[in-house]
This record gives sequence, C-alpha cells and structure tokens, in this order.
Amino acid sequence: MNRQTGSALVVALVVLAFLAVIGIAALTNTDIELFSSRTTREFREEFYIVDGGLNREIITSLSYSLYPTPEEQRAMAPFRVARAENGTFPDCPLDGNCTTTNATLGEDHFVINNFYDYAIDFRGRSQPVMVKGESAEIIYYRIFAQRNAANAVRGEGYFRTTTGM
Amino acid sequence: MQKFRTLTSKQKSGFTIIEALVAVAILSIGIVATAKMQDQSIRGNFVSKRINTSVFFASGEIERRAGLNYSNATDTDNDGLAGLFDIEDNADDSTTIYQNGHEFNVFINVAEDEPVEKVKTMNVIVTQNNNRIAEFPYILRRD
Repeated sequence: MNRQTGSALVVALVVLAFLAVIGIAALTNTDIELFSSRTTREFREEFYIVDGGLNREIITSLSYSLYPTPEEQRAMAPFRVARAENGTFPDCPLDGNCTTTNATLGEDHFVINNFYDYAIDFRGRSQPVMVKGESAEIIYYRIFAQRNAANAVRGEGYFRTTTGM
Repeated sequence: MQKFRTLTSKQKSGFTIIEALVAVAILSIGIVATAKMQDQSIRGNFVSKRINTSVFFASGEIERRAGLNYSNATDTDNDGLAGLFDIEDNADDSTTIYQNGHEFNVFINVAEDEPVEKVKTMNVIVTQNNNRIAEFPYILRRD
C-alpha cells in the first residue's frame, strides 16, 4: 500500500451510506405509520357504514311487527324476512366465526353512497309475556350486515320487538 | 519502520486540497439529501397524526350523537340528502376542537327520514385548514 490518497472520499462515502440507511429507515417507518392511519380511517368508515346499515335494517324490520305470522312461522321456520340480493344468509354465530359469507352486495341498501350486504333472519317468537300491563309476545330477529366481502367488516346482532296479542 | 518513513516522505501521503474539496462537496450533497429525507419523514408522521386525530374526533362525534336523544341530530337548514357533504357555514352543526395548537373542525350534516322513515342519515366531516381529512357516514335510528 504505497499510495493513501483518496481516503477522504472513502470516509465521505461511508458516512453518506450510514446517513442514507438512517434516512431510508425513517422513511420506511413513516410509510408504515401512514399506511396504518389510513387503514384505521378506512376501517372506521366501514364500521360506521355497517353499524348504520344495521340500524336501518332494524327499523325496517320493526315495521313488520306482525310479520311473520305464527302460521307463516310454522310453515317456514326459520323465516327469512329479507336477504341479500343473489345471496344466502351467512352462517355467522355470535362468536363471529363465519363459515359462509356468500351474501353479495344489495341493490338498494346503502349509507349515503356506500352499499352494504344485509340479511335479516327470523329466529323465534316467545311465549305470551306481560309488557306494560298488556299481554304481548316477543319476536326475535337476527340481523347481519357487512361491507366488502373480501375484506369484510361485519356486524351481527339479535334484536327483539314486541307485539300485542 | 525505516522503509515506511522513506515511503511516506517520497509519496507525500495525506489529503490534497482538491481531494478534500471533492469529499466535502459530496458529503454536503449527501447530508442535504438525508436532511430532506428526515423532513419528508417528519411531514409524513404529521399527516399520519392528523388522520388519526380526525378519525378520533369523527368517531367521537358519531358515538356522542348515537348516545344522545334521537331528536338531537336535526337537519337545521332542511337541505336533506343534498346537504350531507356541506362544510363551513352550510353544515347543519359544527364544533371546533384545538389540539396541540392545531384547529380541527367537525361538521355534522343530517338528512331526516332518509333513506327510510324513522332513521336519520348523518355525515360527519372533519377538516383541517379546509382539507377534508375524515368523512364518516352513519344512520341513526329512533329508539
């Protein structure tokens, strides 16, 4: 090694490489942060669409206060009040472990411009009970809504309505 | 040792002024580029924080309205579905929230009895510096 000129350049390049690694790491970190926050925003938006959709389907179902009738229930139990267009009711137990999710987008049900899948399932009718001093029966429905079946945000719950005898 | 001393004196080893200048120039360019990367990174983190904060405020507003009485969300200017995307003075309701010196505006638009009766469609929009950061649609139902 009889010439040592050029070492300053080598040192400069090594320092630069080190700085570049730090810079790239920071940018990668920022990319992940941005991806995370945008995904969070997207998820929350989907969540409220589904939650709002459930609210709408519950109100729609409440208008069927005497429907299905006991005769209809006996003939076709469980009775499906409504179901997704071209779809079947997904088998989603309350633990959220869905085994069938082939419900497709509904044609006219949406929250503002956001379509969602929906299905409402009749689950049963109670024995006559006293509600506010009157004899009534409680009708149980299961309701399901989801956005974007491939990457689904799903909402499911039971609700009940009472009807006079 | 003898040989080394002879060599160094003959070869005039060390940095020439040209070499030093070139190295400094390259290093400067690199440092400026790296500083730019850091700046970009900080800006990105700020955007990310702004999105997260807006999502938090929009969610909070929806949850608050859902918890309040149904009559609490009203279409004050009666513009129905057409007015669901309004901001500033055209919105049905608004609040301003300051966080760490930054101003976030939350606008609430309501369309009553839409898309069916006994529900209200609501659109909550969070803006900062007139940029729409988060926009969440929701349907409230009557209890």
